[in-house]
Amino acid sequence: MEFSTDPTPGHIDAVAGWMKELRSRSESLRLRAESMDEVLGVVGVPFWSGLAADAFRARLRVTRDAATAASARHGEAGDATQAWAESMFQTQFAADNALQYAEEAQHDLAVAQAAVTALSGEHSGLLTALTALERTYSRYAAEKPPAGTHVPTGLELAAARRLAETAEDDLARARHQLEDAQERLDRARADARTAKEQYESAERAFAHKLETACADLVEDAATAQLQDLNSTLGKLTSIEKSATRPDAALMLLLRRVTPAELKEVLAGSPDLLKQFWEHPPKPDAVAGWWNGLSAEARTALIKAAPGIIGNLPGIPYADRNTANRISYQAAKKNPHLTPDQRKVLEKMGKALTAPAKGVPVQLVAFNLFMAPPMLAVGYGDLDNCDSTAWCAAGMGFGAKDALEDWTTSAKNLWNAQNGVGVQHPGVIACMEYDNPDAVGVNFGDAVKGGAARFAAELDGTAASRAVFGLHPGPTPITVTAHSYGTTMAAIALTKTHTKIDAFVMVGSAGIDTKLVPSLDALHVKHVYTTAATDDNLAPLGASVSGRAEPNPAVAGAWDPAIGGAQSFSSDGDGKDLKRVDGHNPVGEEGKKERDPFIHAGPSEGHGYYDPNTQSLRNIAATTSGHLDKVNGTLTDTSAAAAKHNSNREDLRRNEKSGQFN
Amino acid sequence: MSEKMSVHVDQLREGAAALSKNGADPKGGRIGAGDLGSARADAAFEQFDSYWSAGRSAIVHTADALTTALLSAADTYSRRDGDDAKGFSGGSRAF
Repeated sequence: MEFSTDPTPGHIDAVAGWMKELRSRSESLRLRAESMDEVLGVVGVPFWSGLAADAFRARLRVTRDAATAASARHGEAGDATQAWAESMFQTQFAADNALQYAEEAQHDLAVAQAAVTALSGEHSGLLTALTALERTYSRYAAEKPPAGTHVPTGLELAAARRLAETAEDDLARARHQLEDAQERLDRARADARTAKEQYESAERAFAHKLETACADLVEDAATAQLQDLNSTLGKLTSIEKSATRPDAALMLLLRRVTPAELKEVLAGSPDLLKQFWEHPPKPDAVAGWWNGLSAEARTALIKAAPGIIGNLPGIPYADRNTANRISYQAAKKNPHLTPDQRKVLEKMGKALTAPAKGVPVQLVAFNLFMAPPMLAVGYGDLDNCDSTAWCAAGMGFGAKDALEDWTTSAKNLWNAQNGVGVQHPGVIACMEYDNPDAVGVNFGDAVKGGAARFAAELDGTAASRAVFGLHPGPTPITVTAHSYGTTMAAIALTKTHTKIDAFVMVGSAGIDTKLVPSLDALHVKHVYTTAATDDNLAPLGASVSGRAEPNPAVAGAWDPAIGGAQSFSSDGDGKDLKRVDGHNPVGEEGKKERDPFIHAGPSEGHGYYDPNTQSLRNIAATTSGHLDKVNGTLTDTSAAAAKHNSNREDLRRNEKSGQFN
Repeated sequence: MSEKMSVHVDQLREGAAALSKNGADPKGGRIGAGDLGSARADAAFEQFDSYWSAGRSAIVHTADALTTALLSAADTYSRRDGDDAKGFSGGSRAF
């Protein structure tokens, strides 16, 4: 045979044995995964909840998934091995047969070859003898042969011919047998080659399937951090043991876990981001904690949990910006975004442009995964600016719908503050609550959620500036809010620990007096308000909701007013500063006429935060403390509000007594 | 994270018991060189075996660690309950 080695090596018994082993392992892993699934139910909510529970279940889910995947891959390998065993059996059988046939053919070939050799000699001898006989016979047919010469008879000649013919027949038969043996040998060789090829093909398929089954080993199931699991869970249970308020528990979490542990806890509890957002730990505690960390620890935390650190009031704005930029870049690569999230990302590029050359832009908050997406963009070096003005957006001005307009408003304010003499302004466009739409504006749900968060942001500015500013110590912090943002900000300003320098209400949708009984309840040194005469929407919002209108001049006769602010004009000075002719903060480009009736949309350049309006000038002057730059007069609204409310009471009394019937 | 924390310690212990019932990874038979075919089959086997023996070990070790963690958490919570009970029995000033 031409095969020097076994063309189909291997032992069927060994292959079948391994196949059984793979099947057994697959089943064992499946049962293990099933047990883990069962345990997830046994220790699931409501039987166990909290940070430790989330972290434990997250790890258990990962391990269950790893076991499920491992079971499936072992099953596939078992199937591949079974197929290989069958192919090996068939090809080895075919190869063995071919080998046996070849050996038989080789034997027959040798026999035939020997026969041919022998018969060739015999046949050749007989032919020679016959030739000699025929020659003698012919020669002495007509002459007398010499004495002693035997001349064959005709019968002898015929007999010699028959002998030669018989030998020739035998030789031909032997040659035929030789050819037959050769053919059988060739066929056996071909069969052996075919068996070898089929074997190799099946073996390639087997090897490929095994290689393919080397997949889905879940990294987490094999991490070296496994040893830390107990430690992490121990810390978490200890936190749960000692903290009763969510914000306190979250602060303890930050203090006690390592960056790697925080990352792991976050992976197990994505909802943790929402918890930090809604219940941020006290900003002064956060600032103190962050201040005590090394630069390396801060960097590690920013990388491990950018969604937490970036949105944590009390962290310096440069670090929040670094963290939020990481989240922003990750979001841009996320293929599973909602239409709202995509809308926000599409506008981010423009929002992140500076209000003027060289002015830093800082991503103060970035929480794309809240519903709706929430964020804040700051203009100026917020850790070292002369003053910080937070701009709270109003109805329909959340990030998904108005990122561009509200950040443009903030940028306009930055330039306007700069114009009234602030060398290094800091202005933040804040869209960190669920801004209601026109339907929801009259209800207080959104405001309650946003106010606590906004209050934390304001305290965060005070805390981070006190600890991290170039010149640590108090710096002015002010708030300007538009429309429903004034409703939300007013509530927030009852919750701050910091006394804010100024609160400027612009086109207010009214103050909820159940939560803010008077403007004295605000933790603010100075309160300002403005409402353009042509803004019909703001007083309508206050009126329909029953909230108190801080601008008595525009309050409806039956609606309550709230006094105590200093009012300034937004109706233009008739000279350089334009009037506001609608409700929204900026006029739409190219819009020649304001919207009809309630005037929601102002004409181009005639929004409250449009450049060169009396409104923006006065917002800039009041939010920066440059009261000498206020255009027009500041009027205390207390007396007007008191008179308005008195008249309103008269109306109500008259109505009750039936004078209007 | 859940805002409110609750725990049934018995469930944790039950979970630990269920988690540990599967035991160790069963030992496999010995496969010699050439048993499964040519060098190609040997190489594929080696690759699969080394890949998944590590994976199976990780799964078993993780399950063990999770079992320990669950029992440890149950102990911690039990201690807390014990501490709380002591606090309550310490005197009427607590109320």
